[in-house]
Amino acid sequence: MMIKDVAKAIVSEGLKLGAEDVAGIIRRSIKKMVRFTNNKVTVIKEWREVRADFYLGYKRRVLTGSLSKVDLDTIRKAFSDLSKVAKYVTPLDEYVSLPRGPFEYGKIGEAFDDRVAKLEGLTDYVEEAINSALEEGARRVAGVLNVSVDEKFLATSSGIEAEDKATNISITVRAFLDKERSGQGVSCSRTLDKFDPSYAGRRAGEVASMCKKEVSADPGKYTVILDPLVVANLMGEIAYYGLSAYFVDAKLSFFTGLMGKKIAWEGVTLADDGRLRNGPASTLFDDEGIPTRRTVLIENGVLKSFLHNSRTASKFGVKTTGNAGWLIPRPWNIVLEPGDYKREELIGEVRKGIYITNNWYTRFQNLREGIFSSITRDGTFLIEGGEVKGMVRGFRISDRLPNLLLNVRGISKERELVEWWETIAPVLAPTLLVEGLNLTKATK
Amino acid sequence: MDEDITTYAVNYAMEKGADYAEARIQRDEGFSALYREGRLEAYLTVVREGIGIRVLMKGALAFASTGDLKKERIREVVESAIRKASALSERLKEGTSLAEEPVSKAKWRAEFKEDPLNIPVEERVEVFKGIEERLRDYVKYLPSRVYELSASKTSKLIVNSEGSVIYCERPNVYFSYSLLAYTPGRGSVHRWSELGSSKGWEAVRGWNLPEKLVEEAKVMMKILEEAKSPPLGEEVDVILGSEVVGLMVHESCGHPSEADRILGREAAQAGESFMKPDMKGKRIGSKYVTISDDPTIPGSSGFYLYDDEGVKARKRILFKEGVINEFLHNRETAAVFKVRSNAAARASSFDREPIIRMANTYFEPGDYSFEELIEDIRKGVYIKTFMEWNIDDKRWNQRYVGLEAYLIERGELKGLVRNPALEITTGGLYESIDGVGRELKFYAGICGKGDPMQGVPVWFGGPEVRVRKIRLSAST
Repeated sequence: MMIKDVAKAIVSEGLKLGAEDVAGIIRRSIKKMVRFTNNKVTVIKEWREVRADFYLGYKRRVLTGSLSKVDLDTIRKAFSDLSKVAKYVTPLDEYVSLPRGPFEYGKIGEAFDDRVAKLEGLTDYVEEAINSALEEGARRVAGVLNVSVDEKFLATSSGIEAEDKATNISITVRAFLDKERSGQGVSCSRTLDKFDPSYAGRRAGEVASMCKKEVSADPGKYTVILDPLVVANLMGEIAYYGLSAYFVDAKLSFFTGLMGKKIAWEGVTLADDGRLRNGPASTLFDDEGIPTRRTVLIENGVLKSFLHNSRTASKFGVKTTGNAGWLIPRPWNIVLEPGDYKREELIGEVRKGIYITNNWYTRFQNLREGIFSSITRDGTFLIEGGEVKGMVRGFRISDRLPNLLLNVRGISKERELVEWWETIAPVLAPTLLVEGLNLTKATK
Repeated sequence: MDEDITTYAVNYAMEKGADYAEARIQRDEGFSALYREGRLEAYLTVVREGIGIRVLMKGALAFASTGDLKKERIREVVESAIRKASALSERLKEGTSLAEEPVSKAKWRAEFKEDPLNIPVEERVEVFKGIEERLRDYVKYLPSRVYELSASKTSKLIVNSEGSVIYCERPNVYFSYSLLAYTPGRGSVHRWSELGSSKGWEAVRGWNLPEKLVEEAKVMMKILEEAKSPPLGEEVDVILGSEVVGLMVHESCGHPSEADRILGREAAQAGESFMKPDMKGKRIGSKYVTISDDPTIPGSSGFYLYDDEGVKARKRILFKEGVINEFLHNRETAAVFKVRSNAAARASSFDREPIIRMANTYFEPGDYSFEELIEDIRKGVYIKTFMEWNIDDKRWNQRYVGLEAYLIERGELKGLVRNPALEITTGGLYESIDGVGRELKFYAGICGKGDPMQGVPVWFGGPEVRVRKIRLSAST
């Protein structure tokens, strides 16, 4: 069966079962990956996948499924199993029918590049990245190159049939001088023209090379410079756990009850953009078939919107933002608006502070209050008198995410599109200057 | 499962010039139910089935997968893997090889009494209702209550070109809960935790979830009402509870013992290791520190008897009496280290390659009772459970923030303390242990590693351990 036919079959089978709302999304993808370590390729992988995801609204109840086999028998068996479950699922007061289509979806710029779809010789790009890092002084280089071609087709019982296709190409490069001194760079794009493996390698090598001199610094509250990799990690956490209406409704978001309130420095404007040109997650429609759009979430420091699907929107008394997730609304591309500074100017503003180029392992002590810590990774540096003095080790950001947003004091005008292993969603991220961020270190 | 198709894939790869080929058909079938504040909010059914094929050709390794088990599609996938390996082999100066292992022909299954997928739906839902009923008196203080129950069955057939044929079946049951306690003027406390097993539904019954969660709720209320600041700015002795010890050994012993990290294979994702290839035999902690990883524990989340490369599983002693004893290997890293694989290769689904993973990692118990562990502590803190944790990508700099934690004074347990943060290096931690409890307890988790991400079920555990002269810090 063609993927269109499978999606339509899901709708007709679901209706036969007695469901009032049915949606089926069939995703077909070819993904390729090249992983490299110690300056050489270690493995090449390729996946060909067809996946069927479906949603059944059955007497105000929500049933969903995911199948890697998309033949009619498998679908019927899954539906038959679900029909036995339905009466035990709770009818939801806030249940709303799937949005009635059809809709006009328009186009998104730079969403599909035939050259990426047909790309061969992936190891050439890997070698380009490795060589760029080595030229900056790195001694060994590791990373991953990803290429994907994705098609999806959505059919719903509410008159929607929609299709979209995407290409993506990305690389993460980590460059090392030795075990302790490293840097990371990324490049991600929907098109070959804007894919820049040399930049990723160069940036990784540059940060690693900045680690040549080591200095010491005590833990404490510091003015910090957060590079786009750090901003992307933290904004992903903020957009998903803080701004998805599901977590707000579950009273787990640190922004619960703060709509219309000041939650960030006035220079902070954060948006979700499902149609960002060249955005890795840009897509024409969400899982309910609603056309995606740009939604301002925080405007000049004031909380303006959460991310919604139709059901959370109905519960909150607003319109959907086109971010379904049938259960949990999620961000597409997160966009932090730029400021006026160059990164060097932000660093130049800091009398004494810490410059963090990368982080990972962001974990919460208390999600509701946004109490978290996240450990630095790759080059972290002491700044004194507006200059980078040398590499420091072992720092961890241990603070509250709401504090971080309120204490931003500077934003760079240059931004990087960041998506890698440690991001929840792609982020168009500037460099930030944040005052009074609490940094801790091991005590033994 | 179709052995003919799997064998066909392997034979076809060999015909096309592979030096080694391995095919794995894997089927995962299950459900997941999400329950929030009195409502079964959503129910998900999942079926994933397909074949993953790995070929080694002139030192070049390639992996490909498809969910379509028709012969013509498998031919395409094999040809694609061969093309990639062939192209790569021309550029390689130094290739991959696999350590020699005996040919295995085996069938194994995780024993269970009640098939979790045959349990009536009504009974599945009763799990949630029982919890909510038992929590009734606490609900007004628990504004957010989210539970997830899932169960699945996995079957795999692994065939390789050396003649190994392994078939296995195992269930997996899993429960996670998120509770938020709040009282006006005292803020909130958040608890998230999980349970898991490779037994059947009998494991879910055995968890006695209503009692477990009501105990959690009582403790959370007490933390809000009574907990004071922990002792800061001075050296104290710390007793780490089994739950903390389990996570600690998983993060700071198990992960850095993974030989692929030691060789830099995960450098751009899950990171490397503070250990170097020549550190076997080096001291890392006190003589009280013995940490093992054992896939063969019946009922455990990390249970298996043969790994996904067809190597027979065995217990691995990672740290022995404070000395680095053994790394975790698959056949690829074993060849580099010139040792045998110790069967640590696991793949989370058909479309993921087998990589080095832990199974059930634990601190070996000692002979102290809890009272003996604390009796000579003048001032200390007992960190029984945790919420926040993280560790750097070399697994050297770690942090655990206690949730249920008590002050210890003159050998006695006193009142609760709030959010004590233990931030310590791996060396600093293991060298400061001087007492180990006798009661071994296990906890469940989903361990993430690899690219694309592979989440695999594991257990981790230990007894309570005593850590001397630690400076705690305050969480924010």
